[in-house]
Amino acid sequence: MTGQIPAADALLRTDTTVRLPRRDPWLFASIGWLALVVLIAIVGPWIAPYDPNTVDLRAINAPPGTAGHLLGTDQLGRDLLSRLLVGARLTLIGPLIVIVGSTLLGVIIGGVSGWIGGWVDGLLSRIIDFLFAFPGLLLAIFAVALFGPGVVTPAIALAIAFTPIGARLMRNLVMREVRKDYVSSLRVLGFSGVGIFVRHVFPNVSAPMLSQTVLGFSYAVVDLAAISYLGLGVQPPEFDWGLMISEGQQSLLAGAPWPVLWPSIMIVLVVIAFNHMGEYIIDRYQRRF
Amino acid sequence: MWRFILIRLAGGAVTLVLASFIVFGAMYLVPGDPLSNLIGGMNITSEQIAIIRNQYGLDLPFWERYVVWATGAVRGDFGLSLQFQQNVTNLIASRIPTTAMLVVMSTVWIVLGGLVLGAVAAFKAGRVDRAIIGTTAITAAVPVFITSLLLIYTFSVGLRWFPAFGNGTGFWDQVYHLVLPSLAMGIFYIGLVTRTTRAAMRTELESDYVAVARIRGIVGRPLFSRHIFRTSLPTIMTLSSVLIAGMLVSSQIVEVSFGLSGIGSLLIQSVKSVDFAVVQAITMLVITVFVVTNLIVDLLMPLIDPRVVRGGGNR
Amino acid sequence: MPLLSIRGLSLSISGRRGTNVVLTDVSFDVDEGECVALVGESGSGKSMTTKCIVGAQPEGSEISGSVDFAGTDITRASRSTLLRMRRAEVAMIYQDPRSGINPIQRVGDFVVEAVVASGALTQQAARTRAIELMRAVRLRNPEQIMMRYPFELSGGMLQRVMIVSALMGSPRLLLCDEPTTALDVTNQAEVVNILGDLQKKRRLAMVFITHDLDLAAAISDRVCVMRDGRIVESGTTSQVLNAPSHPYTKALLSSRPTLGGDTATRLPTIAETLAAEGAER
Repeated sequence: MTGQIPAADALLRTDTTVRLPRRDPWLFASIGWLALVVLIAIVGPWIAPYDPNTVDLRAINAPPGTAGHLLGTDQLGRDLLSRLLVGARLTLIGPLIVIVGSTLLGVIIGGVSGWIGGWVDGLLSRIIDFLFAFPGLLLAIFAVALFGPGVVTPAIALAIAFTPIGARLMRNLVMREVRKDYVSSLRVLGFSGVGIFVRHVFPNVSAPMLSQTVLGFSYAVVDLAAISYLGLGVQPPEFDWGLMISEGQQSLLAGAPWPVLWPSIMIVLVVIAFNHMGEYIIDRYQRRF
Repeated sequence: MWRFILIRLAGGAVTLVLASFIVFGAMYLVPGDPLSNLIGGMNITSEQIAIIRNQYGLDLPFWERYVVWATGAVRGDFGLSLQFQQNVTNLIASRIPTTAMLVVMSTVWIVLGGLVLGAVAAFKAGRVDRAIIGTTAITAAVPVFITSLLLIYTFSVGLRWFPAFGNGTGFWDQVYHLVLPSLAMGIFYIGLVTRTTRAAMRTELESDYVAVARIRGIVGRPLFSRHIFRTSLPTIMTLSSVLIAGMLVSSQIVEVSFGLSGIGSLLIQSVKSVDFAVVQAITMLVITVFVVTNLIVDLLMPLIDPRVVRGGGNR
Repeated sequence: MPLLSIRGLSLSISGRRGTNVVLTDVSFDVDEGECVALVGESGSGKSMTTKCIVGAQPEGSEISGSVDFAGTDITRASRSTLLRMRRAEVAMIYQDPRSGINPIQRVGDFVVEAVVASGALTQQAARTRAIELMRAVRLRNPEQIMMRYPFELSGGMLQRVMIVSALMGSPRLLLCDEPTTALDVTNQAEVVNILGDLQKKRRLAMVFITHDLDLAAAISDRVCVMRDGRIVESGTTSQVLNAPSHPYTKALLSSRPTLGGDTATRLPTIAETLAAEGAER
């Protein structure tokens, strides 16, 4: 037993800490693609060649490559490229609200539940179990029935519906960590509960939570796009990719798939990218969950 | 054992009651007078106003209103639909068959495809496995409405093999109309089932007791059914509650895409026309189906995994 | 004629990071009714040797040499021969009985499974035999235990169940991979007793893996000391443990704590002993 006991408040890493990624070309492709999409969301309106709402009834459902329309036009002659670029913003804002909201709530509720335990845990767990009975999309639709359509209402509803998954995960992870010896050792050494939690326990549960957050984003994108598709989300004249698909359905039935195709491809690629990132994190830490 | 059953049943009942409370009470969260919210912008006669007042007990204090509604709900009476001027229950009942058939047909695709593909992927590592995983990664990433449109474009507009719209009349015609919609839902969820089955079976294949069984000379069917399939079942069955929830919700989207007159499209329509009685009824219906199926899965679990009865509570 | 005769057994596994030589030129015999202990540190190749005896070496590994069991070379045996052997001639018990039994299977079903599947016994006959064997390993209330699930039994009881299941097929050779390591001392003693008993009564040949030299002394007739995939010394138990010739064996022996030994000086590590002996082999 020679040597000093290392400074006890040095970070004690366990299996589930986030580490730097190993080389995976698809991972970098995913991150790159998402960065691009975020960029588009931010600067879209400025780089769009046309005003996305300009109607041109002489060029309805034009295929890609028609004069001046790189991606074609929709059923009202509006340029699809411009609509795609501008629509990115509203397509991504909703999921952002969902994820920020549900992760925050989940971490807090799950963290408190797991850390304190006892009747607090009992109560919170019952509430979480109850929330599990509400499928996300259903809650969102119900909320829209009450408060009217839009971007924010379904997003908040989805945030509430997504919370239980993160909360339960957080709770289980925290409980597992709390039982470990290093926590009691730190307590015996006199470190404060909050301090232990923030400096040691939290970083050690970050990986599974992170993957959950990333995957959650992809589900949120899909669900909110579905809400818009159903006409319950963003309302015209504003639009997002989901609404574009819904409006484009008539063109598709008439034989012109373009108004549906481009936003669909965008959504699918974004979802694949997020899924890949989320699963990468899971794979990397799988055996140690 | 009985404690286990009773606790689960009680839990389910409590959940339903609380849910009904929320479904009913949410109406009052909305700013404004409940009556004008219910009416929306529609033109209705004063008799109809009276009926609504009665139905929702708008003259009574909150608790009594809830009891009126809840007791009605349990009896199957959800009041009147404003858009259709029909009894809500009848309205829903007429549309259930379509949705039910849709879900059943989808389940067939999903179970057959998912379990088989999952097992194949688990056992044949290498190229077959990677192909299956890659494909399912993509199919699971494509939202249901996009798959629907893709199928419509290919098979309806393009090949003209299947109709893109409507219910059809008569049993087989309806089935015919439901092929594409159920396929759309199926494709989406096959990915999930395949991956879960594959992961579960893989885990079992690598487990110690399978190795021990092999060294004892147990091979082939007894090895598979007893040690790999049965031990994967708990994981696969837990999946089913996610699946049910997903299908209940996705069916709504698919019904809208394909113009089917099922419960889902009715819900969306009612939301848009603020026909609140219908919205409440369908929401309660969906939640009830969800809770009941979860209960059934929970109660079946001990038959498959005897360790469950010991645990109970929060897993 | 020895029952088991291993000659020049070598095993290497090729992976993405190159080839790993796991066993080199392992040779030893086991006679009927004899117990041979394989002793060594973790990673010395003890478990892998026994796996080769039942033909359970990892896929993609290269094996050379011969493993001769009652006239048949396992390394070149056909699938059906291997199967027959596993079902009736050779059995194995393991360090962790809990992970080796299917958790959702009743103990009784587990025990009779193999013999019933191979057709050697009917369900009824197998269950009767199982209950007899359970009594032989001193499990009380065997009828009740047959109905239990693994999570309802303690580690010690499960290990005895393992032993029962191993004996169901009336094997001639029993391979024991550290069966007592995970047990507490009392259970250890019991299991060792039971095994010793069975060995004598049924003339069971045994290969007993352990890293515990004293345990090896208690149970075996002969000892083979393994290190890094080779056998560095072998002989009768008293010979090897009282008068070791190889430096490594000496090192192993001197690193054991003994009752009544010198408590003032730290025990030497293996490396230190080897260095002192002047041979790093």
